[in-house]
Amino acid sequence: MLKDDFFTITGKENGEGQVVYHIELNPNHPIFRGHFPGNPISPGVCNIGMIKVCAEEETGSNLFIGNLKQCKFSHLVTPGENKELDIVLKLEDTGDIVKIAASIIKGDTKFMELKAEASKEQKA
Amino acid sequence: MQQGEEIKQLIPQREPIMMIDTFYGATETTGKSGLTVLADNVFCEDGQLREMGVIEHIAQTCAAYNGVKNKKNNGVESKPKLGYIGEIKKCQIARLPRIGEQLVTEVEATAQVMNVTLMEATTKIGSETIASCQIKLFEED
Repeated sequence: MLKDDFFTITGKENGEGQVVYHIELNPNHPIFRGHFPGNPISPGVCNIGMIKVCAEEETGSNLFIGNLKQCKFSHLVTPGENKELDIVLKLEDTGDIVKIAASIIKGDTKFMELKAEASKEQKA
Repeated sequence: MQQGEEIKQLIPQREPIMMIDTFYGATETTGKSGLTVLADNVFCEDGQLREMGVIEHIAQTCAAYNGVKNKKNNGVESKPKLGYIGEIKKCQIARLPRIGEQLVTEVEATAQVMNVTLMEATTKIGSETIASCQIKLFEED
């Protein structure tokens, strides 16, 4: 629902024990009209959602985040100044469950970090 | 009880990301809201409201609680303040709501310091608890 609409994945880099997805927000998405009128800010839940999409890309599975252990938001993501962002993913795929540790950053700025456990969904 | 357009007096979010359609009321420390999942909900996929929609619904219940409190303190004409999620902890979602189901969420403020409110939330469909979490909300002055 967010992928290729609210944001697009523009690149990917594999690193030591982690993978970095480069993303770009779509400032014209309707969500920015409601959050908030005249003051577009990416909703915290959409930041979580973008991390989920990247984790789905990486694992090749649809995921359900049933256990969001902790999620800290330290900077607001605004599509004007922060259109291009990096999502840093550390995944542990244990079969049915995927442990996710992730952050959204740009340069030295950390926008949020997240720890969660997701289960793989059966594709319909 | 507030519904439909009246909700806009309590929260700053607007379409298409309004995730409460009913506010049942608030006490000094609690608030209760509802959302019936419609097919055109921006967070719906394959007939289900995804995790993001459930969490946003909880966050907006907290925002509406703050909205009621602000009206009490600053007058009924005061506009809803912008607010942001600062932190989410121990968020468990048992299952995703389906189109047509009604979520009812109760939040309790456990601590409030300056413009930060710490809240605990439980979301039910009927008598079934489908989600719970702790949430820290920041409000702009």
